[in-house]
Amino acid sequence: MRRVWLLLSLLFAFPLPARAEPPAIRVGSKKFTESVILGEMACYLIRDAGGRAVHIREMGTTPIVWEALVKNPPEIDLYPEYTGTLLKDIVPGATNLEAALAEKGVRISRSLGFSDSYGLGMRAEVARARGIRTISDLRQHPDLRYGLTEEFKERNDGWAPLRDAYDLKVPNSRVRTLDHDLAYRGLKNGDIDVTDVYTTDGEIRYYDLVVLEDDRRFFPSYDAVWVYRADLRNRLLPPLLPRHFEVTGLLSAAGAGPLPALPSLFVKEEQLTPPVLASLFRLEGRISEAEMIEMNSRAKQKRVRENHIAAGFLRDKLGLSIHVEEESLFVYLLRLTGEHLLLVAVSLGAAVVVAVPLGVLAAKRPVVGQAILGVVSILQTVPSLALLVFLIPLLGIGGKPAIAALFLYSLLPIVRNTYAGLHDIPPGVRESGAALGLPPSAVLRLIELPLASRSILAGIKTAAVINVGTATLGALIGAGGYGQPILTGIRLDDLSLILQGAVPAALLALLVQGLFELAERTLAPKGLRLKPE
Amino acid sequence: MLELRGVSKTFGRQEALHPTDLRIPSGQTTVLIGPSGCGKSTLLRLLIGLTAPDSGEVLFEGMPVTPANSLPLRRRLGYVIQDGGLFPHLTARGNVTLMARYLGWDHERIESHLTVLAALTRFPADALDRYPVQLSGGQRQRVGLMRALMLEPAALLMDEPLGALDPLVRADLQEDLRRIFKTLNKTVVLVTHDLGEAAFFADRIVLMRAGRIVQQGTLEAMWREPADPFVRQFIQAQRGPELPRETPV
Ligand SMILES: Nc1ncnc2c1ncn2[C@@H]1O[C@H](COP(=O)(O)OP(=O)(O)O)[C@@H](O)[C@H]1O
Ligand SMILES: [Mg+2]
Repeated sequence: MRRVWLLLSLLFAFPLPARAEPPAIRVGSKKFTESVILGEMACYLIRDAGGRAVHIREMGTTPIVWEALVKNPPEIDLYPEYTGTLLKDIVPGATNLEAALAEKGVRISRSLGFSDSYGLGMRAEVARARGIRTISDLRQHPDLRYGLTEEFKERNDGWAPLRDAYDLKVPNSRVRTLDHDLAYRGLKNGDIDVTDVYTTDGEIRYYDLVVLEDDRRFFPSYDAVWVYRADLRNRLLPPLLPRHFEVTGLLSAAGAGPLPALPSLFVKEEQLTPPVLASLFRLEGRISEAEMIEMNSRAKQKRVRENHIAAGFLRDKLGLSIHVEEESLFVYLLRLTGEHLLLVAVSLGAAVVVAVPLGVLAAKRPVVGQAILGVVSILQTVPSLALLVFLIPLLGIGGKPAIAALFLYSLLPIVRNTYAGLHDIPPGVRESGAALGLPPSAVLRLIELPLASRSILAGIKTAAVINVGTATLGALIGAGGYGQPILTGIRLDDLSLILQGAVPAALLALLVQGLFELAERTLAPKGLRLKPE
Repeated sequence: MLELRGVSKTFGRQEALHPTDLRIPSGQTTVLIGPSGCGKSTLLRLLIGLTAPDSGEVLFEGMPVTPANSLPLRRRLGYVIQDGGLFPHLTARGNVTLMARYLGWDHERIESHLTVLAALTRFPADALDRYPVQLSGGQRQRVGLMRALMLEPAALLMDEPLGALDPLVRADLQEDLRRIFKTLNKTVVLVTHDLGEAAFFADRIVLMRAGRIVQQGTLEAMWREPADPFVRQFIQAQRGPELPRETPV
């Protein structure tokens, strides 16, 4: 045993020789347009400095993205964040933000130039008609209907403390929870009167909204910054440099500063900033609030893709020469189909391997059987979104939790149909097998399972069809697939994008259904398919 | 050959078989008869070890039957039930040869057995590759019989093998069965609730009622010296066809 440990530690102590390609830096973004645009910019800046970058887009709300950054091993290396959010939600009460984050192994850049605050928005004409200008004015209008995002309702700098700070007496019955993008449409249609907005949202201009003045200075300032893992710097440096860096750091900590006599031996700290990080820092102070609003608005109202917007800005501002690679619709759909099929195939395959034996056990051992059927039935009733979110702390984001959730959902139809298929075998048939002198395992294999095969196949079909539909939700936690364009389409209010995901998902479900029906017709034993003559 | 010693069986609160002694003699046909629910099938299942007795023991060729030895023992007994109990996913051939294939018999041996059995049971060779749903009721019973005889069992146990057949097919199969029993000189235990059929096959009849054996012997002895009023009643209740009387013109 000890020898095994020794071997393992040796393995880790001497990492395999680095490949020619440096490992990709993973950039995350939250599930709103501005974050996605900034994420795209980060990728372009990294590539401009010769690094490799992948963008894990629209991962979700702050807690999800933050967790992905700080967990071990990390799922992302950096993402765009706001100082206000960090101060209120991540390290509440910190006096020195940088120091508090450093304790968590995270560093931040300087402000990218603009700040994007939370605020409460109303349609300008409604606000004007009622004479509302500030958040305090809301107190005089208890009949207003609020539509707030889930994240805003939950946050430490969100609804509950805001309500207390302003002494607003709004009953919960007047507050609905909505998706941010749907909230704007609700505002426009008059379904709600007040919603939480980001001050750089393009919609504010588009829908002619006013942001109510924060007259009690409740919201902190939300400067956009890069947050990145502290270990990223060391990872990006050539293998020999960190030692020098430590020596320099030590000397400067002792107040000695780098020795002027030996300039070539020590390297100054700023010289140690890897080119990739330096490239990211080029954006510091470069984006004005007006520019950000303009970019958000182009993405949402003019339907320009985020990567085009990001590339265009960097070209104009920093003179980067960027070639935007366009994925044709066909290649895009092919990729989505691949991602979607992977989710479905892996989860379904695993479910078959687990659920058929469980179904057999349920049929053979009535007491255990009731327990098994009970548990898988309960699993089925857990709302899919809740299950996905529940699995994130266990499995992170992306494909793994999505596959796990789909796997759990696929169990019930297969277990139940296996159980029913075995249960419905006439006792005379089963008994004849035993009377021949076949051991129970052979009766199961040669007689019972073939007889139950149609029912089992039907269960797998049901699971597969449900699975294809449910897998679209995987996009909510970064698993990709057909849910991705649906999600982006909802965010951008773009029906054609929604259809790019919804139509193939529906077609795939039909195809799967058809294939399984064909399989039932050809795979099920012939003697069970024939009609009596 | 087969023997019950003080064997009883209770299902929940239902006493299916009262503690019972019974000897099944070799080379003879023993018929179990009695009203529905009197425990005939239970007795047969106890004999072949499909059901374990609550008390007493079952002996096969003098050896007690235990859960440990019941599998090889069942391979030395043939068992046929009312609707044949055929495996619907296998052809007639597949049904008959399943166990031999499982035991790894070689192809020639299996085929020669099959040919002999098909001739013996007068089963058409071209129907061997049909599935149970494609066979008539009589043919299905013949397949069930072939399957039971495939491993050359020491005894044949049949639970109302002809119960579900229409009268013409039934008469046909009765003839064949009796001929087969005589040809093979097998030990046979056959369950029926039809006295005519019992008389047709039996060397010895065992009459049961409510989980007990009431009388055993020949039909003639039962007719002459019924052990109790039930026996007389049971024998008299069986009637032949009543023809309409001719009315004088
Ligand atoms: N597996 C079983 N579980 C419960 N009761 C049974 C079972 N098998 C038989 N019995 C009961 O035992 C009694 C005898 O049944 P059986 O031997 O099938 O009668 P017969 O074959 O003479 O009609 C009946 O009352 C029947 O309901
Ligand atoms: Mg019976």
